[in-house]
Amino acid sequence: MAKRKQILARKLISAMDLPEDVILDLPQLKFIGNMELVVENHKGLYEYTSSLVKLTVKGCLVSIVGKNLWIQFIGRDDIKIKGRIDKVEFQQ
Amino acid sequence: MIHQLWYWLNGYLVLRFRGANLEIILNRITDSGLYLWNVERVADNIMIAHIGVGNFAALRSLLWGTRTNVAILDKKGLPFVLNKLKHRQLLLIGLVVVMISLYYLSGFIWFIQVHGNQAIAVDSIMAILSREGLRVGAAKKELNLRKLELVLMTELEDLSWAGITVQGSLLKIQVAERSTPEQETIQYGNIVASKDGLITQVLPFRGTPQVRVGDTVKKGQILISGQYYDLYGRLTRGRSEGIVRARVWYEAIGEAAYSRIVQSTTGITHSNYSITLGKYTFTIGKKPPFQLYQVHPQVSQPVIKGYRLPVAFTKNIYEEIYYETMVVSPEEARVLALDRAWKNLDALGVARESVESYQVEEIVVTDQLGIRVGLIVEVEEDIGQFSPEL
Repeated sequence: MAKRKQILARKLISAMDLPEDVILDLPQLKFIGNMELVVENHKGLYEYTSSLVKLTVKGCLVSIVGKNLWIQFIGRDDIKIKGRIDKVEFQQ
Repeated sequence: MIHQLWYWLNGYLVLRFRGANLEIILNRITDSGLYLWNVERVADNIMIAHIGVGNFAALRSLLWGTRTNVAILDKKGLPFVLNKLKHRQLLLIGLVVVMISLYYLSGFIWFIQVHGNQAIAVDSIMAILSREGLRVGAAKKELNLRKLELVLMTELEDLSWAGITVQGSLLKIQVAERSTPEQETIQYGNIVASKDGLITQVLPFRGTPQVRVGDTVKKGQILISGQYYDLYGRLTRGRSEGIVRARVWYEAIGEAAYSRIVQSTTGITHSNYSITLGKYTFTIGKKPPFQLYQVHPQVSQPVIKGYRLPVAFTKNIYEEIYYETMVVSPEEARVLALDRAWKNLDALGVARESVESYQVEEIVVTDQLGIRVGLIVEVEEDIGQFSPEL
């Protein structure tokens, strides 16, 4: 039932040409090379070390793997991670 | 960036969080609308983060009841800087005094630079401008730069342009000199005689020779004309070039007397002392008891760590002198007069080595007091001189 609702919502958003990330509460990831990543609309920090940052986003986890990672700022919705980013992975 | 500037203005704290599951604590903090930056994980149970000073109370209440310990490592930002300065009022006063002094002193000219001059000396430019009030330490607002430029242009005829600009406390004078045509660039002209003489050699490189070997020429006479026929037989005007050597005669006179006044000492001496302070001198002791004397001062000026003090102590030794007349033999007087004649010749620019032959004429002065020697020398030299015809 929920899946049907989700499909219907996507079709409606697509038909009305609305921004999916806002309506569906999806995260937005913005990279600057491999040395900076800004994640908007995250749901919290799951794990944080200098080689791995795991963020909770709607429906999954985003793993950022790299070296010398650190958080330049963190607020309720957005986070900026700096360092050498090697891999970004989505885990359902 | 704007956030961080805002937090600097309001003050911020560097915090150390210690405890387990710090990610949960971080989420709790951000969920409540607080903002953290420069978050670093330094150990499994330790995190360092920055937070605005106004949010610290809210953060403390959030951590209440958790097992997370928070400590303030540093306090940064404007309020803390001002707070520190409150206890160091002298420093604050000093800063204000320095700022006011800097502002005041920036109203004066402290450096002057002159650029673009080659023939005109910097000193002559500065001498003109100093008459108009420009000097190191002059107030900027009292200077009329356009007037100074005008004065420079009026007084220095060789200037074609002058520009004066002020950059802070530096005054830059940029000048452009009038260029005069070089001698080499003049197209037409003759080679003329620079002095009277008897021609010994004519070597024309360009132009028509007007004299031959053996001719006597007068000063200013044309030696090689700038008019000549070119390869195609056309009469052409040009810049004549060549060497014209001639025998030239110079005259000089030397005199010497049959007597000579010689200074001698009687052997009697007298001493006194003087102290010099800056430009003032005080003498201690009596003046010498004789009219004619020569002084031998012995000055000692104390030096402390390489710096000479502005005080000097002098011992003046006066030696009595007298003058006596010595007889000079006619032969000795002749040699002396001849030597003086050679020196006078040297002053005319004739080197003794270049002289080919010379004649000496002796005249005994009518009152029998001395001798006069006339010296006539013959020199072979290049007398050609370029004379432009514009």
